[in-house]
Amino acid sequence: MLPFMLTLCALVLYIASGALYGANLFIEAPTAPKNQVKPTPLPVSRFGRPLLFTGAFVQFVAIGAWCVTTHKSPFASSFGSLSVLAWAIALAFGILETRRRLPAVGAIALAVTSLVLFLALLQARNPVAKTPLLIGQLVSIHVLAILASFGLFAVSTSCAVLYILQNRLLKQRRHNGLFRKLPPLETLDRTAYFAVAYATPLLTLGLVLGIIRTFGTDLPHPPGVWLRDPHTITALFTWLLYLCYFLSRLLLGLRGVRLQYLLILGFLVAISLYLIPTTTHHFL
Amino acid sequence: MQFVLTGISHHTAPIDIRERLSVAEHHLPSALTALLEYPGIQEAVVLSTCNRVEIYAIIDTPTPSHAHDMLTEHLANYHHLARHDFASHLYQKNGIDATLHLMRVASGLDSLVLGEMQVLGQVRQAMRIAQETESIGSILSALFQQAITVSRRVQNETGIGRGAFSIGHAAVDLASHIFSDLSEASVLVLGAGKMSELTVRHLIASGVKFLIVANRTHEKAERMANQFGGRAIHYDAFPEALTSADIVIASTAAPHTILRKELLQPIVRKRRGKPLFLIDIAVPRDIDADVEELENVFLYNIDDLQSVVQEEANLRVTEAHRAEQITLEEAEKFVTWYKTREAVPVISQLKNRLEQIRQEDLALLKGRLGNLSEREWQAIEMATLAMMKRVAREPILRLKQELGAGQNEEREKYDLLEATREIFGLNANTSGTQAEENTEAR
Repeated sequence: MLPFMLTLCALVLYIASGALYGANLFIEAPTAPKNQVKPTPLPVSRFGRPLLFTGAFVQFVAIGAWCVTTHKSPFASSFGSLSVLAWAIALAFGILETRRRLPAVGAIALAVTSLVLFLALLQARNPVAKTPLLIGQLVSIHVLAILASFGLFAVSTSCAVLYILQNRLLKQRRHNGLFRKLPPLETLDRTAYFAVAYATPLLTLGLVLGIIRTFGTDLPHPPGVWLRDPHTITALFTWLLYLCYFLSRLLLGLRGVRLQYLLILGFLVAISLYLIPTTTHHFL
Repeated sequence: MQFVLTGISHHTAPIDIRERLSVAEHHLPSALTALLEYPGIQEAVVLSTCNRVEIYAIIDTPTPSHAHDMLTEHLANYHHLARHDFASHLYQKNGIDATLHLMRVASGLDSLVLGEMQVLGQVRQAMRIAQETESIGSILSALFQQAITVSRRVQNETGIGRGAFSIGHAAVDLASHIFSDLSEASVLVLGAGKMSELTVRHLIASGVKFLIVANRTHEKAERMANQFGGRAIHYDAFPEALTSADIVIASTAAPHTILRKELLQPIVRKRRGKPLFLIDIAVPRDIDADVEELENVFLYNIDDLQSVVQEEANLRVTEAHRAEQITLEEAEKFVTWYKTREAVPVISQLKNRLEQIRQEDLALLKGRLGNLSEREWQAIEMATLAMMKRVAREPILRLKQELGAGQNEEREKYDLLEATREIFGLNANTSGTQAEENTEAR
């Protein structure tokens, strides 16, 4: 019961934090003095950060408490893996927030975090997998690396959404309200790239470890079945999309609005992993 | 003692009068020295900008009109003018009106363009020069410091100082929503005219370092490039420069457009999605409107920039109301402080007297109760100190309230001060130190 109560507390904290970051976009109040390029965060967004980190801490304790009470890895249940995903998104944004101060990104990233955590809580009563297949460092690192990369992808997608929005406002010549609260296009583009630059190697690591694991002799299916699984194919397609983005940005110097659509597409494909039926990734 | 302001500004005088009364920065010390030679002038600050000349002074005269007279005479003598040449353009303010005026000036509420904050630097400079000339004392120092603080408060709590004040500002403002660091942005100027020069000036002031100038007359391009530390290129080479430029300022005298979609399309492809900000300030326009259809290209012509300036101006008008409230609130606080200063010597004396009594009684008590421990003595000391503070609290509060109440009750104020002196047997000739006074009044 305690892990779920703590997770609920974390959800409330994330919602409050996201609401404060969101309010920052719409409350008409003090703004950056003229000629000041970086937007000054409003007092409301200043409260967002402590709430975010408190939420992340509470959730960390909740995940730990769940592992202690069930004696299982958090990835042994859909509640646990979704909870870790939410935590990864919150943490990825938290790290970015301390480095770059982008409250507008927080409004979207924390909305995604809250949604994922809410879905996790809905699945709190789902059964826990008891199979020994999920035990072991290889599997843990495989899942953790993939979820960490998804956390960073969520942040890059938030930047991409804001980029498209700011691009549209500039084209439509709407210069007040939201326009003034959004970061410059270049900042959003760089931040998204920065997040993907860290996420792509993590996803690569996660997938490579997953492939290595398919050759284990204790598995119920041969490697071919694992690799033909729609779940695995979708994961590889996600990786391919992000690799395309990463390489075209790194090697060809491509940027601009089209690449932002690629980021959004990549995240949608990544999220679809939770919806696509799997022939191998069920352990109950 | 009178606190007065005499001055002229763009509201009251045309430029030919303002320039005759203005004081260049390097002449300010001599102007202040000349002012201090008048009998009774204890503190003075001269604020001279292209839009105003104002003298703030603390003068020991029976009435404010005497003080204003003195300042007008100084202006006439210092600038070798007849009084009737400028006297009708002067405004004269005293006490809270003068305080409020300075706070409005420092906050940009009295600027030619509402919210323009350049004047804040000039207020700071006027105070610095007065400090160097030693013409400023505790009252005007506190006033100017307060005006600077109020200005910061107005900037932080309202949108009065925000946004674009001119076409150049609007261009910088928009560019800062596209590029995160203007010092890394490269600017291409097409047409080295006056308008583009003004816009470039704003961009350079905002950190732009890379500038390329192209003009049909190459010499003009070179002149502008040298002026801003940029590089001149031949006019025909500008399409190549477009590949690497981030911001383009087009202001040629060409009768037709020089940048069309067909020309830009291959260039945009070569740029690989890098945003391109086109500022077309030429009339007739230099850039075809359909260029806007290209991805990652943002085209703003002179009307678009004007509308940005206008939107910002409208916003500032609504913000001005909030800013006025802040300045009024702060001016009242300052005037209350100024008035309570009169009570400071009496309050200091009262406190000293009570402390003296306490120390005397403690000494007596020590003789009678010699065997008490250190801890017990500490308890007695604390108790007597607390008692003294409680006794003094009400009279001090009443004195401050009465003095801060308003000018109509002036007679009553002086009676109360005298009464306090008489009741507590305080010496009218001794007063606390200046530092004590300031701390107390705060």
